[in-house]
Amino acid sequence: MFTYVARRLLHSIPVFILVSLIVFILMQYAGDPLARLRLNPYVTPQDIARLEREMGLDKPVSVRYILWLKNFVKGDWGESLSHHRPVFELIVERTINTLQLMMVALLFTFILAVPIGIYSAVRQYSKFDYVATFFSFLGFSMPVFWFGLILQMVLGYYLMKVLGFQLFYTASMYSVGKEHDIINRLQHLALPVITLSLAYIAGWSRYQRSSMLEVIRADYLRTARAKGLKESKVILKHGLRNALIPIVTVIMLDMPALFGGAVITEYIFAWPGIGRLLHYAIINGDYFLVMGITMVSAFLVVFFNLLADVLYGFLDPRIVYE
Amino acid sequence: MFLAGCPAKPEEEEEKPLVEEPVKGGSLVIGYDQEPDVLNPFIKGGDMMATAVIVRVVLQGLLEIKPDLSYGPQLAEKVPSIEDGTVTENPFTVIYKIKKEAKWSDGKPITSDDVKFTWETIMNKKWNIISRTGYDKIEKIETPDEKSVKIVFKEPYAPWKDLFGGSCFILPKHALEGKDFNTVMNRAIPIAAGPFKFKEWKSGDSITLVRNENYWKDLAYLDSVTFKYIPETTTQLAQFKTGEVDFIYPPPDVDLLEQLKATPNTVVNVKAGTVWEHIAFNNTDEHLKDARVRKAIAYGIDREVIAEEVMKGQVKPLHSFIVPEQAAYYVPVWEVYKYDPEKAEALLKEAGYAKGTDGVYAKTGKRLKLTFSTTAGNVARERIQQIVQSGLKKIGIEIEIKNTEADAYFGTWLPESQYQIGLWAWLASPDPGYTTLFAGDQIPDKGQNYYRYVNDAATKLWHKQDVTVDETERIKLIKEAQTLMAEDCPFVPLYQRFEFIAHTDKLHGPVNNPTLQGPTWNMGEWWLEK
Amino acid sequence: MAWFPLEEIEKEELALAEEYTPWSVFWKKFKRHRLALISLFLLVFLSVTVVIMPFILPYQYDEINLKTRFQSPSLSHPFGTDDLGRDQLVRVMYGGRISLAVGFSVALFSTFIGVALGAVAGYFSGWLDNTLMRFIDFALTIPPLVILMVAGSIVAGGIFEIILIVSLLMWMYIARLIRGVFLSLKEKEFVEAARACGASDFRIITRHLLPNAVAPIIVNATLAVGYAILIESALSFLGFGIQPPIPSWGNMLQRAQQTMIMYPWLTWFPGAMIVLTVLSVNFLGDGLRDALEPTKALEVM
Repeated sequence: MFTYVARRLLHSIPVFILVSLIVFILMQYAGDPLARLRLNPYVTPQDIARLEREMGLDKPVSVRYILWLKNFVKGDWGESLSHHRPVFELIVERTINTLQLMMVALLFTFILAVPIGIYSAVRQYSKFDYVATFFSFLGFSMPVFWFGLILQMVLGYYLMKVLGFQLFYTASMYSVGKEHDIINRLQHLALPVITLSLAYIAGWSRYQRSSMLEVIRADYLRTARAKGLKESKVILKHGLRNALIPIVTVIMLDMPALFGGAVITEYIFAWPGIGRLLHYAIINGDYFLVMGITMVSAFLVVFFNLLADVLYGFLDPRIVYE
Repeated sequence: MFLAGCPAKPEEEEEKPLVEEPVKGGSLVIGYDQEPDVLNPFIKGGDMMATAVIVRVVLQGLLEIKPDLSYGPQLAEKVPSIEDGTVTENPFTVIYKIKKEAKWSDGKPITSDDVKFTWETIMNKKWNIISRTGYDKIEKIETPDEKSVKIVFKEPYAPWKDLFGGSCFILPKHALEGKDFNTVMNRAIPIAAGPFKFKEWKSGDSITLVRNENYWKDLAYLDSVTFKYIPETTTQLAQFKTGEVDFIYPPPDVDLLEQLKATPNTVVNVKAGTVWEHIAFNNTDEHLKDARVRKAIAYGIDREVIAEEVMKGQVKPLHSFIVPEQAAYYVPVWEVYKYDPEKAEALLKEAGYAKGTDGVYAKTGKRLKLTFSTTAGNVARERIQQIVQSGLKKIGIEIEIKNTEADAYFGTWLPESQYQIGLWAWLASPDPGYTTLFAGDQIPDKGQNYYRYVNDAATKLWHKQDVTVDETERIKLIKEAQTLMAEDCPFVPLYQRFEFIAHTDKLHGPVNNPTLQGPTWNMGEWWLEK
Repeated sequence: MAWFPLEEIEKEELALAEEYTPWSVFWKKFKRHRLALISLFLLVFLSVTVVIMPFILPYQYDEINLKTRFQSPSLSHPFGTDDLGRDQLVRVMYGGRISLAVGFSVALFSTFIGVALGAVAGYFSGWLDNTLMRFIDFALTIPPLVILMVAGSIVAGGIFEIILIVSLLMWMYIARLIRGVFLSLKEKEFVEAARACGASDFRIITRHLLPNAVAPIIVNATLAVGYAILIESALSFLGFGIQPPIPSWGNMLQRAQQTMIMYPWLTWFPGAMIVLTVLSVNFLGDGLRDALEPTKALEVM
């Protein structure tokens, strides 16, 4: 097992280098870190040239890439061109906020999606199954930003008008001065969590449904039934455990996407997370920051893929890793 | 004060007698779309409006810019002038007296040493200063006593008021000396000179200021002010409607303005800003190098309709590259270019063009088909493009719209003159010295004459006004340059963009200042009803 | 479509079928999935409508009339007018052409690349398979969001470029799937029989293996249409989608959301079109899966 993990990680090193090279080259054509200054009639082209020199932007791409790679390997991720702060520090700071949003969304999705999937499978082609299927597909089909803005209007503004007080806040992490108020935090989390969970509830519940369906028809459940066990006990005791294995894999594989995939949700709900940071960095040509986030994301993809495989093997003893 | 489209609300307020006395206390939440990159306004990244609106109330300059674009004293006792002998020529020297009572929030007096330190910091090659223009014209700064500053210039410098006023702030020497200026003020401002002190910055979320209890003038009414960063405008609006933010300073969009005006319990304040949009010509283009073609286009564009339809009458057509608020310098020279399609076609014929069977003019086989570019995604600009396109079609000019994102536009297309007709905006400052934009020797990489416009007489005027400190003489030169340039028509000014703020009617005191100062310039006088 | 394993069809199913052509069996099973059937008709109807309607309607998609801005739905403008006074109906139709074109092109393009690479990798194991799998791993490791935004900000909104970018993000999934199918199929007797008869690799792949992988290919391609439309709308929101004045459902919705509080109906139509299309595509995919995958097909409804 250890050698397997080590080999997988070793194999991914060239992949990381290739990913970094491609994103680095692309970033040279994306944003311009001095765009705003070029618009300012009081900043002369000589000033711009001087600032480019000071920022090292006048050097050729190859030189800058090698320099970046060398420093990155040594643990120096560089300084953000726009924020003038160490990239690593910025990423850690924002990741904490994103994790908060992500974890709650994950939990929410899991609690909702798995029972829906199981019940849909057990009562296949029932009214519940149809309704659940329909709504999960509907959720998947909504453009996220539109759904988020509708939530703000309906559950934020109109609900407040009806209730006379604000149940859900429309944006940011907490009200001014209420940073440590848990209720207040949950009121702020509600709408972005619903928005973020939307697409995943659909996917996961469908997945859970089909893996449950397979399990239900499996021989060992027939055996259990034949023994005369009650149907509910058959499902919960024998079926559930096996039906949960695949969803664990899916969750693992969705993790990296959730890490960065919250960009639209974070943007709409003014959540100070990593997705917004990335968006801003790309627009402003802040390549050190983009590279940092890219490498973290790439690492997460590899890591969670590996974790999914390992977990799968752990949960399903039939699988052996050479 | 120039009010473009005075909103209904303030007028109502005038009828209601203001019996209420300002009360102390309360915290204000301001919704803002862009978070500052850094708080240091001098170094790269500090050139954002988001930085200015905060630094403005924490630090101060010797002079300040009033909403009517005149200069007034802030830390200085008065604005130096030739009349009272505080501005002298040969060598060009300016003497400031700092107010006796002016002090930092830690109780130390604000002194002439601080002014000198500010200049030295800007000139220090170690720091990533955005621009040293003007400061490099200073020979030396003398400090005869604690409150007197004598600035001696190498040569006359007309826009000298901008150097230590407007968007330049005096730095606290005792707090910053010996520190790394590239980083020391990025995330916090250590000491205040203004009505508010910096409290904290929650990255990505908010910046909070609190009252400077040690302020040398009347203390601020508000306990604290929080700037909450909300990138999406629709969200900002929702936040304003639910009362989660009390004040917003959104992008100047007409439709948004209408929405806010319809919101109850809201004060909306609109004003013409100093950002002016214009349609620019590449004066070296094979068609556009002929002034008659440029003029024909100017006559073919109905600027009244643009102001009326695109900006819903919130703005008026601008007739010069100087805004009317700069009253002393302003001459409405572009007024002659009133919409006149017949004249436009006559000019084209005069220039040797003939109408083809497809309704488009052509000369020596070359059809008058021009590319019109601007920054992609800017709704107002795209609207203007469409109006211009259909307007010019009527006078036989075919316009093809081709836009790119702002970075590429300002980074490559304009400096390298990869455009025929362009549309963008410049930011006006109270000082009308536009040499780098219009002088014939300022074509990139030298300057920002993206028009590639060369008129030797105008170029001479621009350089002359740069070193003319006699106000009346300078006014004459700039007026002359305007007349010359309108005759050449290297571009067509359209309008000044309006700016607006909206806030709850519980808040009193905000006066929208459309200059670089931003809307927070008098925040010390704001107060909230209990 | 001779690959359909008839012997797996159970008796009750046989009783239903008058004639056992695979097509009729497929159709019978597909018809049972009501939602999928409705979706299919809806998609066909939508596609035809967006192609025809712009020719019939008396407005142009870029015809500006600043006198008629923000009109609510009426007889002359059934979907109302937008911020430039343009007729929303003709724009939704025209935008539909663009969005559907993006959706179908991405599905075709990514499926083509994915199937080609996946087939080669699965059929010729060894170094070729290894190299290709490495390449797929690499493509999967590039954070899709980074690439979408970076590439989007570079190309600044051309239709062809958007199709290319989105396709390049999607081909890996189908490639992996096809590789897996091929790996298990190539050991089957019918392949060995073909090989023994002297069939070329190309012939074996195209004539014998590919037809047996049609089910997952079709299902995935169908779902890709929906993904592509959603990705385009997300890109539009972030400012990297198809650029105006060319309308797409995504950029129309993005533009309309700016005035959503005052003129909500402007978001309804492009938004509803996206939802309707993606929803239909998903139901269709679901129905196709049920009808095409022999092992799962015969659950009695």
